[in-house]
Amino acid sequence: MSSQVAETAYTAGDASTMQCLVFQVGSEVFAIEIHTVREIIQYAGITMVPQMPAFVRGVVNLRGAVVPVIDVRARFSGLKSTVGKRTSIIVIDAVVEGGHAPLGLLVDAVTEVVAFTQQNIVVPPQFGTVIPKDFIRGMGKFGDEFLPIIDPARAFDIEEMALLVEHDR
Amino acid sequence: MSYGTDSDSDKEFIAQAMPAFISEAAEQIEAIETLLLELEEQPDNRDLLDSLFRCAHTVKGSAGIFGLNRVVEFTHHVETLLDKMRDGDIALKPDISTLLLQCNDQIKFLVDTAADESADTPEQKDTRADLVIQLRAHTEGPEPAVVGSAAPTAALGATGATVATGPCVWSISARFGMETFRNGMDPLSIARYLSGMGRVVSVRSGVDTVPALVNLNPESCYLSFAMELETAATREDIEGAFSFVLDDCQFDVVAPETQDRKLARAIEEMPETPRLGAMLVSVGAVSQDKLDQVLSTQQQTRGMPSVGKPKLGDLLEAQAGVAPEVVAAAVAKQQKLRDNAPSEERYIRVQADRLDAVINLLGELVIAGAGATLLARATHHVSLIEANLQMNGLIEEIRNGTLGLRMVPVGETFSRFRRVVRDTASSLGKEVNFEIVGGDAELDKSMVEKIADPLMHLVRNSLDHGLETPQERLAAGKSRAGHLTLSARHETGAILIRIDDDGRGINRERVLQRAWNRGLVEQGVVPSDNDINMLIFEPGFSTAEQVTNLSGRGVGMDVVRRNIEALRGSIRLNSHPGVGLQVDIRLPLTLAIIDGFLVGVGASKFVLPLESVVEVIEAADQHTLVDASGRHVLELRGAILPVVRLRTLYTIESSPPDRVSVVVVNSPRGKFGIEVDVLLGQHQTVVKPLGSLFKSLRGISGSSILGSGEVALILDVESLGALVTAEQQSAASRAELPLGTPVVQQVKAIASV
Repeated sequence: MSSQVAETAYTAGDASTMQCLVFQVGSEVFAIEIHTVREIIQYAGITMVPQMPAFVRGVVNLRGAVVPVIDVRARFSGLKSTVGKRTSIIVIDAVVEGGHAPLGLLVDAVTEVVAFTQQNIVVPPQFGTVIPKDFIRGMGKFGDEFLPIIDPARAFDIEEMALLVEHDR
Repeated sequence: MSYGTDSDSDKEFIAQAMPAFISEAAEQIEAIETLLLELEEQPDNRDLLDSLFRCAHTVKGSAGIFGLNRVVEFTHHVETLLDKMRDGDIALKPDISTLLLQCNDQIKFLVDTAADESADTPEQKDTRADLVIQLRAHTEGPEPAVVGSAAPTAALGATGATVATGPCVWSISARFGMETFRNGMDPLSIARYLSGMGRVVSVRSGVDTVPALVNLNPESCYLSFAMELETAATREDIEGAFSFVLDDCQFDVVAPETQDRKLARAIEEMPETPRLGAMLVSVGAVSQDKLDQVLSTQQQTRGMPSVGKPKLGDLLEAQAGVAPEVVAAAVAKQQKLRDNAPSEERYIRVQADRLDAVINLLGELVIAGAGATLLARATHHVSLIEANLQMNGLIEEIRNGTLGLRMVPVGETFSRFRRVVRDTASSLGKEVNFEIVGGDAELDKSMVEKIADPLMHLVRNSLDHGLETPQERLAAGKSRAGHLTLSARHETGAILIRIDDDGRGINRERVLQRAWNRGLVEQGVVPSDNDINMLIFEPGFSTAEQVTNLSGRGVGMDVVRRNIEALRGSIRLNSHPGVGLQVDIRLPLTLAIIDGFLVGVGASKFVLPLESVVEVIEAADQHTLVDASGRHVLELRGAILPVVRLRTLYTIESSPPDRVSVVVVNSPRGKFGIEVDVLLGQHQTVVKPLGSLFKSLRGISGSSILGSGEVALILDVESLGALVTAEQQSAASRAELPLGTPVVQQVKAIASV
C-alpha cells in the first residue's frame, strides 16, 4: 500500500496529487502550490519604493509590467532578508479586486518541485506553526517532516497588505 | 439544422442590431437636445435647424427599419413641426422649445423601451397624445400628406419669393445611397413625383455602379438618375422632392445653364472613375480620338522631371479646347476620390479595450525604442543612432496620435448640463445664465465618463443651495439672474474644472451648527474656515432646510468627493459668503504616456512631469538653509523657495554628492524645489500604475520603465508639495511609532531565522 502511494505521489498532473514548489526563507522551508506560480526569476534590479514597510521590498520590471515584490521573510517574521547568491523572486498570480495580477515573492532559495498526494497532506496543527495558521493550507509530508503549504490568497492578500502599508505611515 | 423562416431570421437580425440602434439613437437624441438648446440662443441659425431636422429624421428612419412604429409615428409629428420651422412658417419661441424638449424626452423614452411594450403605460400614452395635440396645434390643422403638401406649393411657386419666369428646363441628377431601400425610400417615387411637376424632357438611369450579379445585394440601392425637367417650379420646390432622402442621396438641381457648367456638374456627379481622360470622354467634353492624341503628346514628355512635366489637364485645355472649368471639375473630382474614398463613414466605433490594448503595446514600443536608442548610442555608430532617432520620432508621432484617440473634449459632457441647469432652475423658480468656458480642453475618455456624475451633482447643488431666487437676489443688490460658469483648463499636467456661481456662498455658521448637531465636530470646537467648508463633504451632512427632489438628501456630496479622490483628483472650495462659491476640481489627465524629466538620487531614479518643471538650478549643498520651522529653503533671485530633499524624505541610503541640483517645480500650492543628485534629462514616460498595494502612497503617482529596464518612480508634484508642508509633523510622528508594528503583532516570528 505504501509503495503505491509513493508511486502516485510523483506523477505529474494527477488530480489526486498537489504539485508544489519548495522554497527556503531563512532556515525554514515552505511549499506553494505550483499552479499559482507564474515563473521564477533571478534577483536583480529591484527598485525601492519609499515610505514602505519592510515587507514591501520594492518593484521589479517583469517584461514591461511593474510587479511589486514582497520580502517573504519580513512578511512572516518582520526581519528584512539579506540578498544572497540563491535569492530568487517567485512570481505568483495574486487575486486583486476580482482580477489577477503578478506579485513577486522574495525568497532565499528555490529548491525543488514535489507532489503531495491527498493522503500526505494533513491539516495544520492548532498551534506551534512558524507562521500564522491562516497562512497555511495544509502540511505536506516531506520525508520525515511536514512542510507548511502556503495559501497565497491569505498569506499575500493584497488588500490586507495594502492596509498594513497604510497604517505603517 | 434549423429551418428558420424569413421572419425568424429577420427577428434574429433585429435582435442583434437593436443595441447598436439604441445607442445610435441615444446619440441622436442627445444631439437634438444640444441643438435645441443652442438654437434657443441663436434662433436664426439655419445650420442648427437643418442638423436638428436631420437628427430627428435619422431617428425616425432607423426606427422604421426596426419596425418601432411608436417611435416613427411620434417622431413624424415632431419632424412636421421642424419642417415648418425650416420653411420659416414657425419661429422658435420658448414654448416651442420647451415642447420640443419634452418631445425629445418622449422619443428617448420610446427608444429606451423599444424592446418592451409593457413599459408604455397609459400615463405615457396620455403624455404622448397630449404632446401630439400640442405639436399639431403649432403646425396648424391636420398634418398634410407628404406629397400633397409639396404639390400645391409647387403650383404656387410663381407667386413665391423666387419668381420663376415661365417653364424652363432643369437638370436634376441624383445618386442614391446603398441604404436607401432599407430606409424605406424609393428613388422611383421621387422620379414620379418630379414628373408630376412638369414635362420630363429626358430621363436616364445610371446603372454604372450596379455590381455583377453575384455581388448584387437585392436590398441595396445602386441607382442614380439624371432627368431634364421642364417646369415652372422653383429650385426649392424641386429640391423639396428630395427632402425625405437627404441622408441617403446626393442630388443636384441645375438651373438652365451653360454647356461647360453642365459638363463640370456631370463630372462631379460621376461615380468612381479614376482616370481624368475617361471622365472627360464619358461626359462628352472631349472625344476619344482627341484624348488619345493628347495622351500621346504627354507620353513624349515622360522623360522630363515631374515638376516641369505638363499635366494632362493643361494639355487638354491647350490642345483639345476643353474649357478650364470642366478640367478643374474633373481634377477636383479626382482629388476628392483620392482624399476620401469612403466619405460616408466619417466615424468608426471602436471597442475601448481594443484601443487600450493598442495603447499598451505602444507603451511597450516606446520602452523598446528607448532601449534601442541607448544601445545605439553605446556603439557610437552614427548612422545607427540617426536611424534610431528617426524611428523614435515616428514612435512619438504615433504616440501622440493614438493618445489623441482617447482624448475627448470635456465640452461634450458640459453641454449636457445645459438642460439640467435649464430644468433645475425653472423648477426652482430661479433665473440663471449658464456659461461654459474652455469646453475644448481634452481629457481621457474614461475620466470624462467618471467625472460626469459628480459634476452634475455639484452643478445641481450650486443651483439649489447656492443661487438665490430673483427676489432674494434683487434684495441683496445683485442682478436678477444668477450666473453659473462651468470652466475647464489645463494646469501643470492636470485639468482644472471649476464651477463658479455668484450665489450666497456657504453659510459657515449654519454648517458648523449642523456639524455640531450631528456630532461631526465636537460641540464648541471651531475649525478653520476652510475646514468648515469641507464639512459639506462629510457623509450624512445636509444643510438644506427643505429637502428638495434635486439635492439635499445628504447623500451625494460625500460620494462626489470619494469619486473624485478615486480618480486621484482633489476638490477644493473657495467660498465668499454672499458673493459666491467656487468649486475647484483638479484631475490628473491620467495619460498612459507623459513627457517626463528624469532625475536621480543615489541609486534611485525619479520622473517629474515635464509640464511642472519650471527651471533647474545647480546649488552647492551649503546654499540650502533651514528656516525657523525646520524646512529647507533656498534663496532664488531674492525669493524664498521651500526645498524637498528626496534623500531625507524617502530615506535613500547613499552618500550625498558634493554638488546637488534643485529642480524648481510649479504646483497648485506654489513653486517649490526638489533637491536631487543628478539630472538625467527628458524622458518619454510610459505610466505604469503601481497597483493597489501602493494606493496609500503619496508623492508618487506611478512608475515607469526606463530604456535600461530599470523602474523609475513618477513623482506627483501636487501631493509632494503637500508633503513639503506636512513633512515636519509626519517625521516627528513617525519617529514615535516602531516600524512595522502591525506585522510583528500579527505574526509570530520565525524562531531561528
